[in-house]
Amino acid sequence: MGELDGRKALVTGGSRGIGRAIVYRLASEGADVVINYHSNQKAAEEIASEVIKLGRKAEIIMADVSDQSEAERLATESIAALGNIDILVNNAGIGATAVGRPNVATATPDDFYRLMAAHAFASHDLCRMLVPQMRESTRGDVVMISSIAAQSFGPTGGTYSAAKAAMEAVAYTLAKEERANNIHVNIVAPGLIETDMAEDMVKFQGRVKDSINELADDSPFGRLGYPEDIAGSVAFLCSERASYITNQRITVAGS
Amino acid sequence: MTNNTDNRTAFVSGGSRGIGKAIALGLAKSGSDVAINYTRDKEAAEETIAEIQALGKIGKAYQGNVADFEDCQRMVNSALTDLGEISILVNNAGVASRGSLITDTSPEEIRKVVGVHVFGTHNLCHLLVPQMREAERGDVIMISSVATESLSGRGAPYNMAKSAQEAIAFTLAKEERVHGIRVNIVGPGLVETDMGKRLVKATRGVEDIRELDEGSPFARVCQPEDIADAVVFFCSEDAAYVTGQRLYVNGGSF
Repeated sequence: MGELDGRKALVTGGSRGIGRAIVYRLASEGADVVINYHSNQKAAEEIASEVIKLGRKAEIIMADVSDQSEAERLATESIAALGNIDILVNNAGIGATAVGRPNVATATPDDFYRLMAAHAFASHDLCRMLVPQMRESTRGDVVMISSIAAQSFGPTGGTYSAAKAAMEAVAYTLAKEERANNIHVNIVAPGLIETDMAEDMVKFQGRVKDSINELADDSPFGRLGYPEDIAGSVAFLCSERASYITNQRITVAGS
Repeated sequence: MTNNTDNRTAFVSGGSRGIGKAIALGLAKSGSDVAINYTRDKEAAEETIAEIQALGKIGKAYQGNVADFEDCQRMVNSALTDLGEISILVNNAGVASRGSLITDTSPEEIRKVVGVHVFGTHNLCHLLVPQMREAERGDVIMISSVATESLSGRGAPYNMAKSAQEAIAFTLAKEERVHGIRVNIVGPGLVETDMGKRLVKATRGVEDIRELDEGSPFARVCQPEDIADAVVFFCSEDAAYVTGQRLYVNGGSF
């Protein structure tokens, strides 16, 4: 018996990295999962087959969640695939590296819009589309995968940090609005996690020569964060063990 | 990644009743032997020990006032002798304050409330953390309160004490990370315990705490097990990369 038996989850950006680990963990705990991906269909199919091996239903749906109409389509198709969705994990994202890590003074409006759309508008669109039907479920969960950037606001992360901070604001607001409907809303904020996106960042920043693993020794607890670390917090927050927890934020960064 | 604390031994202050008892039992259920501290209620302590043993783990109880450094030395020495390495410390022992204005609060009450929460926490950390550094993994949890967020009027002793206790946690997290010790905080709101029931009777004239279920978050008053679940999570593999964090377990801080 898994802790999430009977639950139905949508994980955006679920084909790789943190999203993939979240998909796997939710399925391990008994949830059926819609795996949203943007470009890497093969990766999405791979994790979907793992979910099926775990005995759960898996559906892969391509959508660029930063586009409003695609986010809306994703929501509609997810409900059609699983009947309803009672766990929404807003995980899809792009790093500040994707726009060249500009200073605030250098960042173009397009840079800013792109990051806001990916993290803040996408999250809002999916909440708008999925929360009403989530109210019908016995319990609902919305988890935002944010970032330590939204607490440290480091240089050259400006537009990313702002987008994540906006996403967090949606979470804290939504938590208050939907508690009466037994929907829990929480935030998990990763630090440096061993993913392709993080590796792109540390290479761009010149912090490593070849591999993100060069940073492991100097990292908290002598290792990088793993996608499974994020998945562990997400699984906890969606479980009965956290049935009195909402409006909370867990930083998973070893700090 | 999992949710167990197999083969680890825990020390839970104020573990004979209420939240502390639930934490002790939660840790035992997740695989730990547990030492509890109590001040007065020996019968409750023995009952808790019996329940730990019924779960197949070792339970030991040590009498002492955590605010007293020598009591802590005695209890810690006995616990380490009896149980060996202790890699989980839960600073849960606490007392309520009277709910008076600062202008009506006695210096004695301030010292008493701060003594238990702050000096008690510091004493136990001071005495247990050094040996904890040798463990494969260590965890220190402070049971704080939503008081540190609301800092409401008529709560000065408790607000001060819990805020200072949290300061110890945040400081200790930085100091001991290099030793593989995680330090986190769980902050309950109103919980259904003797202390919680006394509080609602004194402040709101509520005789039966069940009357409060309907108006509570998620239509129920928080239970000690809700707090225990958060403690066990923090001590588990699922939270191996989590330190310096604070979770309020109160159905939302609003």
